[in-house]
Amino acid sequence: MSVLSPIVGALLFAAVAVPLLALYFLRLRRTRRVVSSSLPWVRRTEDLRANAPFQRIRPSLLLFLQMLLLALLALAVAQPIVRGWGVRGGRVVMLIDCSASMGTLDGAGGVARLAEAKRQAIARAESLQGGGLFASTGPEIMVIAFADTAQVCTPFTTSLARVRMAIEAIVGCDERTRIEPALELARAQPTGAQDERAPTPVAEPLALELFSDGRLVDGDRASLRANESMTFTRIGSLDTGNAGIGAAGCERSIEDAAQVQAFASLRNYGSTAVDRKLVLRGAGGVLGASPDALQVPPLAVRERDRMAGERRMLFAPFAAPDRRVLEFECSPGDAFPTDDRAFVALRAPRPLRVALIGNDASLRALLDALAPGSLQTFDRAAVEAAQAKDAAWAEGFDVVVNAGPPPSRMNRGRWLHFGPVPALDGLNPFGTPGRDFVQSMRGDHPALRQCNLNELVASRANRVAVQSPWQAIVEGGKSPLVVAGPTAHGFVIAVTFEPGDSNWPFQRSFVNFTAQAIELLAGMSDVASDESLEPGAMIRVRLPDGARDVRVTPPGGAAESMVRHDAEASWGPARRCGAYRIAWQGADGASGERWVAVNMLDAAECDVAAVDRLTLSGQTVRTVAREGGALDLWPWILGLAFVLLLAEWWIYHRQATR
Amino acid sequence: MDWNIYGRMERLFMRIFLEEEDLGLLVLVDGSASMGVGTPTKFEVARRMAMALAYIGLVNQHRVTLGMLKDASCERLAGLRGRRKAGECAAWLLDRAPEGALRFEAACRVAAEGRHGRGVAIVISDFLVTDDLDRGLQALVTRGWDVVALQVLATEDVSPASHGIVGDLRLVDVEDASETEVTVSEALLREHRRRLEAHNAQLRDTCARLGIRHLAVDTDVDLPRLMMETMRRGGVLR
Repeated sequence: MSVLSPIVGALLFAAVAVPLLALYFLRLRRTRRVVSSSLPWVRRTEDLRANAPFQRIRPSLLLFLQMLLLALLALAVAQPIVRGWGVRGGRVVMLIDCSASMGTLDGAGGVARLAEAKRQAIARAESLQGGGLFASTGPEIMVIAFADTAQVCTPFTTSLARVRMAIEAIVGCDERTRIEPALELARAQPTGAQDERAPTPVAEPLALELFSDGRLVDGDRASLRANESMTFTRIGSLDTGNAGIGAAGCERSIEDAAQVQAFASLRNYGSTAVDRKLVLRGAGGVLGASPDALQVPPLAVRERDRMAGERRMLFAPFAAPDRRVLEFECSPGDAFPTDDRAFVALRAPRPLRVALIGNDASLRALLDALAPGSLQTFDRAAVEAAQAKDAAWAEGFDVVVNAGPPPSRMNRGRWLHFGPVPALDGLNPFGTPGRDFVQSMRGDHPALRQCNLNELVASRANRVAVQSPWQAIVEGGKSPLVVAGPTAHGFVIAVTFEPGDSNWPFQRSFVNFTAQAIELLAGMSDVASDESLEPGAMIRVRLPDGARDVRVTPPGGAAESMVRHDAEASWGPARRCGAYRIAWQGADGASGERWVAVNMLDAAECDVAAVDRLTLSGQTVRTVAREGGALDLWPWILGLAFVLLLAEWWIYHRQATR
Repeated sequence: MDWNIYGRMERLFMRIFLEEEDLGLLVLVDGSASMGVGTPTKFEVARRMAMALAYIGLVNQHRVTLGMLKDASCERLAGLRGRRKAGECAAWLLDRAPEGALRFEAACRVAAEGRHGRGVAIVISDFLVTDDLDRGLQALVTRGWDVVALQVLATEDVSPASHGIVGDLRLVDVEDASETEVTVSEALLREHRRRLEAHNAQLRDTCARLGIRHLAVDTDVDLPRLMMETMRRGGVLR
């Protein structure tokens, strides 16, 4: 227990106790009466009045009761609280987790965790602001809803109504849970009580109250500062299991583009094995299903790692000659329905259109071998002329491959470039070309899968320094050898040397890299980002020339307009899982559409069992139980004082009247 | 048998005598200041009773002695006999006034010393003394006095609340001027009554043990009735 206003209470006690004691030092001026003998009389005084100074203070029940009453009143004014319930006064930031796992229906009566978190947060706000008469300075409360990103629902305020409305307005999403953006947002918010005349803001203590299931993906990176404290209100059950779709995809057959092969992976995050059935739907019908229930093994825990049990399934090929949305569904459902369904936006089969600039023989031979739908070759002058005539010339191809000096305009379209580094934002060429070899590479990059670059030696590698968002996916001894990054209206993968200046064309990795880079870049022609987005990502779509009235229809929602940037439209973030339909009116009046799938495939988010102990960078956050009554003790003390007052009044009258 | 008459007359004669005793009556009046309390005062009532008893003694040709107990001594008016001394008795009593404190035991010892022959000692007092009553009265008894204790209490002594002794008071003892601060409440009055009755009970026990007749009266007493009925019934008078 601690006391919020000890000085006020002490001052009150001192201010009243001294005069009260002084009254008891006064004595009664008694009437003198002569009696025959004092023999039958015994000294007994019960002074209820005093009108003359002074006397030696005598033990008195009334004095004891009055001092006790005064002490209780002073204690009530001092506002004692039970420290176990958190803090009072100052600044309180309520961090409410609205991520996908908070949609788990494991509350009493099947209530979602987010609803329970909101209920407890409102109760907490009411207890913080419920100081009544003596709560002269209630705490400022800020509400932040967070998932992959954070959002201020209400800035620091002392208005309970605003806090309640802000909490009630929080809606859930299917994003993963990161607390760092929420912490940064809380630290950046000025307090409403900040003195504007102060030269610098004063770093007041910040009390953070987290309402979450504790499944944070960045718990080992986030940390609290010296003036910050955090309490963790755990929402959800510790042993809630979940089984759902962990991965889903489909590929068109190389031999017959109309045939599609679909696959899915089931994951189990529970402690016992479960049986699930998988169904694949599309074009209004069932395209495939698991013949029997698939048994998914349970979660395996190794030290701190939790490895979900997994079971994969490959569906029989089916015909899909056009664009369509495929829906995977596993049944029966469970407390976390978000990952019980997954979507894949299947593109229409279309021949690959590739442009080759220059006359590099190795590249020409390789592209011929890849057999794209159309391969057009241009010389550099023709390209410059075409771009001068049409700035979006490169966007007419799925991929433009260039070997040699870069064209003057590479900020539109998808480029695979070999040679001197182009002049693009984020790429800074320096020095003179020289011999270099591979030191490291990002093997997980889609363009570098199954590529062994240990034998690669470039005799004339250009030097370049990259800035974000560019990435060096192959590092040389002196400079990056392969970089990748977005441009204003496209994407570029740039190799800093020409194939002829290296031994790469004679290695198998050259074939793999070129083919995978073209596949990666071509995949961006329909959708600027990945085919299957994660919740929270922006939807970006490249549109045909003259497209207008571009609208997106979220799953279960109303159509909204997308933001246009020349030939690209964007919308987002897409915070819910499902299939998003993008529709537009073409220049010829015909309508067009594309689909973007957003799926919950994050293993950390699908592991919905609430954490027993929350740690931030190794520091354990105090877990509190929010169920309970008021935190303040002063109403109880006032009640006790009232009872004492009645007792004192009764004793006084009993003495006065007998 | 009168042997001289038998010698002369040779007949036996028995002489019969009636001896007349010279009975002493000692009337001791408490003259301390506490006897000045009451309406009428206890001293006034005691003085009337003493005069009445002395007059009865004078009329019956007893040797009457009046005594006024004060401090540790006893003022006397002795050697009175016959109706003609009644005026002297009355004048002596009227000249006396209650004052000072009384040391009962010492005063009784002084009073007991002047005894000659048989006699009756009547002590008229409120007996509200802190001295040892037992030893004072025993001093009279051991000197051969047939002692009668007449206790006179004022109504203020018995029911102080009915005479304005209520509330917050400083009570002053009229004899030794000692002060007692009290808040007169129902509880304190009950305590006062209990202590007074205990004191009177102790006096009665002492009297019973020493063979002393004890009569308690208050200042509202009907004096003729007291003398004619109560005292005769108590065996003080015949």
